Amino acid sequence: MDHQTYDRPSLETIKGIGRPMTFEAGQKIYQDAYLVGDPCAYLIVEGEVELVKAYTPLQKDVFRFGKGDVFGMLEVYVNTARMTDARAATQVQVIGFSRVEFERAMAANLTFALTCIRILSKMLRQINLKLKQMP
Amino acid sequence: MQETAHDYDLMKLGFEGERAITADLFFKYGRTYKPKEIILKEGDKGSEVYLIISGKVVVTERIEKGSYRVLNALGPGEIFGEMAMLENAPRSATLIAAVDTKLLCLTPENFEKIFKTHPRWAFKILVALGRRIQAAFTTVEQHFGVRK
Repeated sequence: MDHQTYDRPSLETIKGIGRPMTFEAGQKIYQDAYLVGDPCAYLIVEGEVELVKAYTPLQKDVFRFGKGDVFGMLEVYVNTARMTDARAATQVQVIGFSRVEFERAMAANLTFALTCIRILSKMLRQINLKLKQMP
Repeated sequence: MQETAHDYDLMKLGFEGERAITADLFFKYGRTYKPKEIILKEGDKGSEVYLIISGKVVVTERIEKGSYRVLNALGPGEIFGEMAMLENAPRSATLIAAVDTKLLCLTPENFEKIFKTHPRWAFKILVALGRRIQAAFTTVEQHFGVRK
């Protein structure tokens, strides 16, 4: 995913809404098929995260996220359990948001809202490309 | 920049949602499609964003000449066309009216005016994209014979 940039004041505003968390490299952040917990969505402040959608043990899609990206919001608005695994690819610092906090951040900052939309849009393009390549 | 009457209509739509769609607004931005009529084609350049007022739109991908596979269906209140606008990329799918369908067709500039007025539009797009991703995952899983 493209790394997003926020100006310092807007990043500070968003940071203030959620709570800082750290995950070590390789640590699981959430797991496919598990219920969406609290926090439900995460903004990456430093480091990289992989979302992995495993269809079979050999077939999977990997979505890589970096600084400034947001992940975890996919399932919140379709009211479903987690559709992917999320794993810290490096040591990663994130801001975790509850659903209410996430909505506050979306409403407070247009860049944040557009970042979330662009990320889902790119994920969809990646999956659609896979669909096209299937017989 | 001075606001126009058009801006007022769009901002009203932004604040109030679909209930602000009037005959006047439809006259300015509305389009009507017959069943099987193609609304936009995969690969085309274009950045208009569409809001479904009534009817049903199917999201398809072209398999061969004149033949399409249905990926998803969209109904009233749903938005499409936003992916090409946000990424400045060609259309990712072909969208076809399944029944008589009425849409609002908004230029990126007009959609931006609406989008900025109220967070509901961001949530609406998140829901739309989330549903499409979920449907795409399901299609891939079915292809690999995964049962849930």
